[in-house]
Amino acid sequence: MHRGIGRGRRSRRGGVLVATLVATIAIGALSVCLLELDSTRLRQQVASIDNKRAFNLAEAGLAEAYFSVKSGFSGNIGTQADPAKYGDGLFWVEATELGENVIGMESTGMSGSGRATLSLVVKRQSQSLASMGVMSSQDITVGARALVDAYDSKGGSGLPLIDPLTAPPAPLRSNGNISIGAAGIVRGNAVPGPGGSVSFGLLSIVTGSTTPASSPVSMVPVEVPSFTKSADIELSGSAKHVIDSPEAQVDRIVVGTGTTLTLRGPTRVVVDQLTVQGGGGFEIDTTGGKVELYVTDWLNLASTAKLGFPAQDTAGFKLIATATGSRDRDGDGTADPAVRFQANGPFFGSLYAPNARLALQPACEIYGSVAAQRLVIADGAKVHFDAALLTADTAATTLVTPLSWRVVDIPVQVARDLSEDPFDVLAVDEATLSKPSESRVDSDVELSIKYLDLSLSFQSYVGPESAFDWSNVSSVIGIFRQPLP
Amino acid sequence: MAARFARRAGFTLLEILIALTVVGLVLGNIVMVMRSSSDAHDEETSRATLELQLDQTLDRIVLALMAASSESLEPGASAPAFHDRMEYMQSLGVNDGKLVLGAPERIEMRIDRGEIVWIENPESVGERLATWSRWVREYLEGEEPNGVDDNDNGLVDESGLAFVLDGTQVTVMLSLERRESNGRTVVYSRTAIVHCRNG
Repeated sequence: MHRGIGRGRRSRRGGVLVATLVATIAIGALSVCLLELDSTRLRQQVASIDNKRAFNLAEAGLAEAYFSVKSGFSGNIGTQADPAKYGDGLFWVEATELGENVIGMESTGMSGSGRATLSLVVKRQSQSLASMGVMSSQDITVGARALVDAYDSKGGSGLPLIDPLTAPPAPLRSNGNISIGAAGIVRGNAVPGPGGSVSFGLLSIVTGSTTPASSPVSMVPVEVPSFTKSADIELSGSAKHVIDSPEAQVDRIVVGTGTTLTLRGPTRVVVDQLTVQGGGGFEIDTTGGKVELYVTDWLNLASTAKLGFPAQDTAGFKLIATATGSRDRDGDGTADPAVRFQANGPFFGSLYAPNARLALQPACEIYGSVAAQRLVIADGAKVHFDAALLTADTAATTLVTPLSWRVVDIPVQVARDLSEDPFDVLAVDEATLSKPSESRVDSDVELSIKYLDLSLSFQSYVGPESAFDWSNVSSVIGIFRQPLP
Repeated sequence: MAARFARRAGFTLLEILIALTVVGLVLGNIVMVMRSSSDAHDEETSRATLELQLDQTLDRIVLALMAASSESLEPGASAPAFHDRMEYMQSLGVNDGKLVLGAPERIEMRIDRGEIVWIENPESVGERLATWSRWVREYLEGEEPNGVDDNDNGLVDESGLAFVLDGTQVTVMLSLERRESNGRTVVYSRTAIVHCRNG
């Protein structure tokens, strides 16, 4: 009995432990399952956040590359072997020249296990006035017997002898239609806007293409400078007046009959209303430097106004009339157009009226470039585009226009490894990576700059930026960067 | 000795009743705790799943419209009208300086199934369809079908997925709703504003 009871008690030994173990294992298994569910959900959330971060990094890369292209660089930012570090992640941008100033950029961003690659295609355009050629944002009328051609002054000046056989093609462009009157001649291309056409008068000729453009051309934006204002200038009798200060701003200038106003470069002049009456002289002297004239409200050159260009330098003068709309500007009860350019004879320089109709008179002859909202070249008038202006304008800016943005496939090498440390994946040392702004692959660009030095003298420079002494710059007048040739 | 062993060989009824009562109470408490924990977990999981679904769906819609050409958006009526579907074409890149667009795609809400679907080449031979989300509300959160702007967002009786087009900008509003096992309904809503990057 004693033995039997002892055996029974021994056989029950450990029973509680087993039950406890079973219960613990069951609860443990349940907990593991719940934990696993939670961690799966957490992983999904983390992956989602990482992907968003990677996307934002790729966007940051495109922004840096876009700015880089705008500044004249190639758009390459870092490389896969040496990316730019940004926040907790990294990115690099590969830029490819696709021809005709079109650049494709692919930016890859990596953060945690997130990966994203974005593509941006942009078009780089020089934004000099001359880059527009002979241009109108609306229709262009080329009158009967009028001539539009081109030449290359190659930095020289004076009246050119234009040889039609060797001259470059004239770039006549419109965002609307082009109408050419009888016997009108365009030695070069006459390119109407998208959907536009060229209409020909009897015996009129266009030697180049008349195929419509695929997209409209943007007018170059103008930033009118602001200077300390001086008193109005009204010349009468036989007065002669010279403006030769580097900067001048006047509300109103009237050049009366028998008087002469001279703008002597280097100078930049801003005037609200400029009137040169019949018999009045208006001389642009660019022998000592360039002249820029901004007319913001009314440009009024009478038909017998005498224009003078002693240097006959097309690159030396820019006449920019930002005025717009017709209204009574002289108080005579009749509406005056924003631009009345009735002067005859030769004009040397760039003539730009982006917001107004510009009608050139029959005896007018333009050497340089001309662009307006609506351009009318009267019967017999001549426009000779100077191709040298395309490279001479140091005040040009670069316009970078996005053409396409899309999400593209992640590079294969990167997509293969989705582990959580992007620096490990690329086998790079996080501590040695550069900031985005220091990761441009290009070491130098060609800088074209027009500036005032510390003694407020006008200066200009064209060459590698690395060789330029920025410490001598007081203020920048115009700046343009492009890849080194 | 034998009598003593005989007395200790079993438990009295009282002991057993007390033991059973204590064990019952302990087990009951354990079950209650586990059930409430499980319910809370289910509820939390359900909410998290719904929120994740909302985020992922809206991200997909945003990304799709971001790469679209604004000129290809259909229907193209401007704000304040809304649509429960949007057709678009995405950029494939540039050829000869011109933007090349892909096949037409559409994102639409199918209220009969409470789904958001993406369709490539809709209503044509090469049509492909994928479901991007379930649990879409018939009307946006706070909105009732009564001809009044209940949720004060400038739209009347807008659907659970609503697109509002304004130039190159598209406002996307989305509400998801899910009924939990305990009968309660969880609703999540988000709004995103997208600028079409291609014109």
